[in-house]
Amino acid sequence: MSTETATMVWTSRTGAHGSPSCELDSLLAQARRGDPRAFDRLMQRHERQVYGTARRLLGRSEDAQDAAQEVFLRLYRFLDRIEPRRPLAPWLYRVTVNVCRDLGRRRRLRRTVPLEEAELEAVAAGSDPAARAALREEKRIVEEALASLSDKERAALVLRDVEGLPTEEVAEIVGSSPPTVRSQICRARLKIRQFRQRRLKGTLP
Amino acid sequence: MSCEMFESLIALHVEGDLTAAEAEELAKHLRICAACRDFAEEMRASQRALKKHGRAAIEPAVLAGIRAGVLRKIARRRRGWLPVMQGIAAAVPRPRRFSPRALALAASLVLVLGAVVALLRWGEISRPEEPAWQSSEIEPVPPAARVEPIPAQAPSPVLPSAPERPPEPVPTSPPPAPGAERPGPGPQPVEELAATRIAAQQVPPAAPRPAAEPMMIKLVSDDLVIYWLVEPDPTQEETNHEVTTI
Repeated sequence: MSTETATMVWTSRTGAHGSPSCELDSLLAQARRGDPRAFDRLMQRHERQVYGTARRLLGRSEDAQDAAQEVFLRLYRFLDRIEPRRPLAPWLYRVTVNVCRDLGRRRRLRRTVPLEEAELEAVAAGSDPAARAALREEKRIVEEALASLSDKERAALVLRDVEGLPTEEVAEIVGSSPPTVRSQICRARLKIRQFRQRRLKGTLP
Repeated sequence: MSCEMFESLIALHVEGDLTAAEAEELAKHLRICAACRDFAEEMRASQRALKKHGRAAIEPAVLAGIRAGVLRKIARRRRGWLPVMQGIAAAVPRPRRFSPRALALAASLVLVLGAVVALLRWGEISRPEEPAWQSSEIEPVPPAARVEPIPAQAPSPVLPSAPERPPEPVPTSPPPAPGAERPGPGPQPVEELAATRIAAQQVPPAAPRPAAEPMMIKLVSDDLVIYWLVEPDPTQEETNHEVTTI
């Protein structure tokens, strides 16, 4: 049976009766056997999680794309070591945070959001120039506020508030304790609020 | 508890991160403190902006590009020879400019080049007067067609017209036989050096030059460029040297 046929048979079977964990196990098994379509589907399941997290942690789309590729290459490299019947998302979060931390150190000076990127996203949002300008400005404030945080504060805040993970899971991902993460989240939220208020009042350039 | 301490509780409260006892204590304070109520409203607005832009839409083309890049890299690794090359590349850090590794590579290249030049000269001297291509069916290649020109404005550490030249580093070729003349252009055996890009240039044959005019050789690797001056033996008769580009 060809690889493509095997994938199609598996899809039709799990489409009716499969669970997400069974589907993940099957995809992992096929990917381990070298099925590129299975690995592609694995990536599709988690690409928004990986890229979105990297995008918030690194600030630039190009850097986030590089980080996401590195995360998936590590997933491919460690396919044999991933335990079946365990959710893949926490492992991917952990790898994403580590990859972004390493990448961020190398590209420290490039953490600001390029103007053209914010402009493109604002244009996509609507045709009202005033609304676009406000949206663009608000987005820049958020990105710059995130950039002003330390790596640990940013990781804790993004995982907790943007990704919506519980504090205990965030602590497990970043390799820390829940009280420490709680403290980091608290400081990060206070800094974001302060940064935003100062920008809105014009006291911060 | 001061308002400053309540600010930390507010920062946790807006996302439901307080215990029941902490939340109750904060609620009591907010009922009597307008400044902390304003602070809490600012905190909520800040969190709304963070989530709104933190969860911005992602273009599918970006995600497709990421997947395509990953699959392309995996496919390269699975071809057989690439794992070896990439393993070597990962294990061996890229040498810095003028590092010992680069210098060793340069020394090796110089030795190989010296041997090639010596062989060429030996072959030219020992060759019969009639050029090889005239006695065989090999079509001659004009020298100019095989020249990789070096721009005149390119910086060169060694100037051919400099009055004082460094000593000739290439092993000297055997002395020419009395009356022997170098033949014209012929087949070059230097294709063995295909892994190394070597460009050798000489003053164009049409331009008159003195008999002791040096030959400029340029060694190019990934890390450094070596300009080499090969000074021909002034006792030899001037001939048109072949310029070879690999």
